[in-house]
Amino acid sequence: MSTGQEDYLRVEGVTKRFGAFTALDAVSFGAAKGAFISILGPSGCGKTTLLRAVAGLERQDEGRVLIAGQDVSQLPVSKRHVGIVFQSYALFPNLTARANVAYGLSKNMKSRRGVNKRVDELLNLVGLKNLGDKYPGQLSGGQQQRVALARAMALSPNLLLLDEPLSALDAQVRVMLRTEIRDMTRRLGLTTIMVTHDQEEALTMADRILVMKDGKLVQNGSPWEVYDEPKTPFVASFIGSMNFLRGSFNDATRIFSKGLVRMEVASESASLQGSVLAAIRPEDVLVGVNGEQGRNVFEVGVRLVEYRGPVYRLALDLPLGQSETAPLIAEVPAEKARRLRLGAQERVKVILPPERVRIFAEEAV
Amino acid sequence: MNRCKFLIVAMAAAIMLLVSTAAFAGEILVYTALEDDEIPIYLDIFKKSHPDIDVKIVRDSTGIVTAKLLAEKDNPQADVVWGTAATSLMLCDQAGMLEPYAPKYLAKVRPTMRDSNTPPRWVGIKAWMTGFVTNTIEAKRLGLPIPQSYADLIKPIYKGQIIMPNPASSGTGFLTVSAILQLMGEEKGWAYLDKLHENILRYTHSGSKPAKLAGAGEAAVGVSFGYRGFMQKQKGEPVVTTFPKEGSGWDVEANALIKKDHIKPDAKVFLDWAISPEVMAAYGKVYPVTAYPSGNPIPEGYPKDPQAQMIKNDFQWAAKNRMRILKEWTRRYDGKSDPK
Amino acid sequence: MAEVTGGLPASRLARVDVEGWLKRCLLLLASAWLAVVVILPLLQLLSKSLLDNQGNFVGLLNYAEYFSTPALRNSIGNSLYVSVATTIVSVLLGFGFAYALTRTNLPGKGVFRSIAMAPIFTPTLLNGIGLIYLFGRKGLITRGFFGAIPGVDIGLYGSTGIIISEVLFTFPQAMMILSVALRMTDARLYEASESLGASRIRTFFAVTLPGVKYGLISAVFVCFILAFTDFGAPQVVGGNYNILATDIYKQVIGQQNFVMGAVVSVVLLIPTALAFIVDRIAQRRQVALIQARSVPLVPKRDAVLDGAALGYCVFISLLILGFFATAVFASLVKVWPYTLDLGLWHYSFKGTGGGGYQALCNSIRMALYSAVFGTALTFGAAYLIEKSRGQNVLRQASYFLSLLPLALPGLVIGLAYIFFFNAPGWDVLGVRIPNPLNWMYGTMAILVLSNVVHFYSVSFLTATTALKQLDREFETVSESLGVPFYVTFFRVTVPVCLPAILEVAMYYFANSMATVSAVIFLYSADTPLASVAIANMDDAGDIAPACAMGVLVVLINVLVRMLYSLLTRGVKRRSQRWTIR
Repeated sequence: MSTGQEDYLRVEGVTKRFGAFTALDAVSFGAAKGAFISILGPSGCGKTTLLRAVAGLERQDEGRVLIAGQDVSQLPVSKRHVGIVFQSYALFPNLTARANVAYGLSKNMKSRRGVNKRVDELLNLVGLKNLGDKYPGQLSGGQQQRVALARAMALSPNLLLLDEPLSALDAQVRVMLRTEIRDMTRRLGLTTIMVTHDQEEALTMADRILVMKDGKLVQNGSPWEVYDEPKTPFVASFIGSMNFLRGSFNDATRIFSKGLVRMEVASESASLQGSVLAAIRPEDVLVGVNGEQGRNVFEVGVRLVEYRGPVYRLALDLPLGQSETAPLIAEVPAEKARRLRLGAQERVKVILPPERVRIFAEEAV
Repeated sequence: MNRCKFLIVAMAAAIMLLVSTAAFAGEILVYTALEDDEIPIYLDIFKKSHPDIDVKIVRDSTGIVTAKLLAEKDNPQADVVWGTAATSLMLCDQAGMLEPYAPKYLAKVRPTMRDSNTPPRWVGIKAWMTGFVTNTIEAKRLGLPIPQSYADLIKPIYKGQIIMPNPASSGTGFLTVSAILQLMGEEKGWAYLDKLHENILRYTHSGSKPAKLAGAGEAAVGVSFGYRGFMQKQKGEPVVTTFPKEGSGWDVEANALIKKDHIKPDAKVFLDWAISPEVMAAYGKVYPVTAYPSGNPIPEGYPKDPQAQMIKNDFQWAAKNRMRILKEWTRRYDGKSDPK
Repeated sequence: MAEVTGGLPASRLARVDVEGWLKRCLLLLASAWLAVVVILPLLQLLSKSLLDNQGNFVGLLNYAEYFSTPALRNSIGNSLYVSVATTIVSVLLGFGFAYALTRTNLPGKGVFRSIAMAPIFTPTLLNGIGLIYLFGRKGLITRGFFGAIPGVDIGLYGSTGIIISEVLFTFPQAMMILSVALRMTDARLYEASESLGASRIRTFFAVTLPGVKYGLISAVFVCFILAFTDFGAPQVVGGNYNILATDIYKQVIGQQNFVMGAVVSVVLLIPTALAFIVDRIAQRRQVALIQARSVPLVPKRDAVLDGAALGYCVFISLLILGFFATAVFASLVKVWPYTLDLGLWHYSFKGTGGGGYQALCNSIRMALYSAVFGTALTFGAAYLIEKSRGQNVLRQASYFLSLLPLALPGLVIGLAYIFFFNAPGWDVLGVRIPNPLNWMYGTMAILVLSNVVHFYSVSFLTATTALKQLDREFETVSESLGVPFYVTFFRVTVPVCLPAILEVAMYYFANSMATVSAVIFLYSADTPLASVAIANMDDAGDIAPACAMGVLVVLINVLVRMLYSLLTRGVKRRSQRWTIR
């Protein structure tokens, strides 16, 4: 976790309550200059509230916010020098794209020429050179988003805050804009915070991902960390998908057991004892047909094979006892699946590689 | 800059409004319940002799004028009340709103038409009395004789043909009911009203309305007051006005000076004028009974001796018993649902 | 690309949040203004009902007397009966009309809408007079058009007359609310219902009705309260049928019994307040149900339905037009019903009271002021309440106060205003507080104020609805761009809401022209009013001139409406250019 003194943005123990409901519970994090931070979580987890607290749109009950080493906790949004893009874009419908972009400039720049020049720069930046005279209603969703972005950038903010900026767009436009936004912020060295509930968006765009749940910051890490080393079953299941099996764990032998299943665990995890959750990602489940030998090999029943283009998704039954089974999902690259003729098999052998099996303290998933 | 200007303009506007409400010298505010068509005639006379005094008139029906006066009790607006029912002025007097004043010509005024105190709290200008306004076309069509007495009104032939003001909402209604009770005594009076109620088509909230409804043929007979019927006839409505043989209930239209911190001399000038012979002559053109003889002949259609037509009205009794009478009347005749 | 600014200049940090304070102060001011013009006069009235005629405190004694007087007590039931009946008829008729306007391919929708809205411009007294000319003993219909056809006597005077004139009065309001509700329903629901093979009737009950549930509740609420508190029509056509509003008149005007008048006013407030609370609870649930991305419904062609709709709308429109035609006719006839010469005698207003054309000019002036100040105040307050962050208690309180005037009959407002604004001062705990608003009494200002308050709630709701449709984040965006909120208010909020703002202004204008109940207590010698003149002329028996003045009021309202749509077409086109795709 990077909370060092060099952080450009620092959020320290920010708590926000709405009546009896705690929307933010002592959230702390930091961001280096030019970093792209994603706040990820299910709806109602407090991610938008966190963004609004950073922006100065919600005054926190406790804690403080520092930008460039200065405590801005008591400043209104107008004094924090942040650019904000909202989910709805909030473009002024009665003003042209140009006028929207120029909205905050007119006050801060003296000459009309200066304003015009700056608006041209910004429209160029977002690739809307020729559409400046259109009204928002005459622009497509993606174009509106770009106008909103240009407007937020107009005053050269210290921080760019994006609240689910892409959620209202078509899949293709969304993918394209992802790259564009990321390129732009990188080029300008602009520290950016983006709220999203789309894990793919977070994984592809962010330098760091903050995963939130119930107003708490659950994990703060690089995309790789939150995916490969989730701290809790919640993070594990919220980002990507994850197989879970409840059972007991012996820390000394590092053996997990549940019914007939005895499984070695080789990944690093806190020392846990007794009732735990074992977890493995579907793509880590290695599917063979016969002859597989060695550690953590199980013979499982095939319930369903689902074709998904590049991969096959298998719904498997891991036998726990006489008739008891546990569901297990596996993903197999299409090429391998075809080679194994998976569609026709009723039973297959799978390997659950010990270094890919993670152990979590038992909690509600 | 702009805000500054706006403030100045707003303040100037506020000051102007303030100034404009404080009435200028030579201006008086008069509340009156005189009929709308009379006022300009009288005011023209006043203008001729007092061109320097600007008279502002608020005209409403007696009920509203009285309600307004009483509601404004703590901070009276009017300088003078002109031509408003004496019974209403008595209410104002009870509330301590009237300043005793003896206008010029007071000596000429009949003792029945002024407050008995000296100086009087109110001085009458003329009297109005109960009259029956009958639509001649409707009466002919229905074969009804023109009613000449209270006794006529309770004849079965008039069933559902008479409209009368509700005494709880109208001064004319009350003076009629009070006259009947005074004439016949309470017991017989109520018995009479019970029978009258049988014939009533409906009660109205205003005293002039029955005359008007009779004029429009909505009813054959309207129990109203004389002046109204005569004016309607002048406008071409097929109506005839009669007065009950037994005697009419009546009330005085009177003037009073309102008690204020600064009583304007012009208010007294107006009150002097309001019972002067010049205007009395004008009152007399349409009203048979004025504060003192106006010298005019009795207007056509009125009884030869209008003074005799008026019952000996005991205003004190009426004022004292008003609430009780209204309560009893309401209990007996009001608050019933629709006549189906 | 300019360079991204580094740290924050110290001067910016040092400055306090001036704008936030300004906004808070304005909100406080808005709440204070509502408190002064609504709560204080009401308190004055309430306290009157607890005193005897001599001003001694008697507790609930007056109420005990009220409820022990059968004549007075009965009025509660009567009032409830006529208002409920009015509400049912109005909402049913209004629903049919609104349905035809929004869900069918009816030709000439604009014309039908204008006709249906016409009664809003009418003084209720003219409604009463018109009804007498139609259904009175000598009415056109009762007499079968002067004997041309067999007549029908519907027994106008009494509850029938009250209900008819209240329906005429409330129908446009119900129609307006319901057509908004019907237009907002999501077309996808109908497609779903159709694809499931549901019959048209089933769809109506499963989709249409639930979809306009809240509109229906609102329409019921508005009709009920308007009918419950109106006094103009019952006074003219009520006959012996006593209702609460006429009881106030009887107590105050007939008997100068202010105390009992105050008691009846308070009693009148109870059901209205209850209806108000029920409506608020219902509307609160609605918020969660409105979908941001509904698909507008485009009515399909359907010969049978369209034909039926046309027939229905023509029928209703003929009734309304017939009513106006009667009023116009009556104002031109020399002596109704005996001398049917036509002419403009009654339009000279010579020899009648009330001020004639001077009163008409005054009324226009007053209506203009009410429209300008009322709209500015209403929209400003709605903006502050709707678009401020925080201060939840204050905002909720202001919201409630803004809707409260809907429950106040004009008569009550008028009386309360005399007591409040004419009071020279008050003794509170032995300290004399002079009344700073006393100067308003007897001026045009108090007339305008009473109108602004009287018609505040509906205007406020219109403004709020328009503001709710704006993106919640406009304010935050401009704040983050360092643009003061008042700049955004004038550059974005006002232009975008312009249609609603003009609508509110028209509403104020038309109602101020027509209203009697509040202003009859407040006008002064310098400010005679057309609507009061109608009441006075009617009272003096000059029905035809009263009718003529009523027709003039309607005419001016219609003219202003036309002028407004002509003038604003240009403005709207410029300011609403963005709506064209």
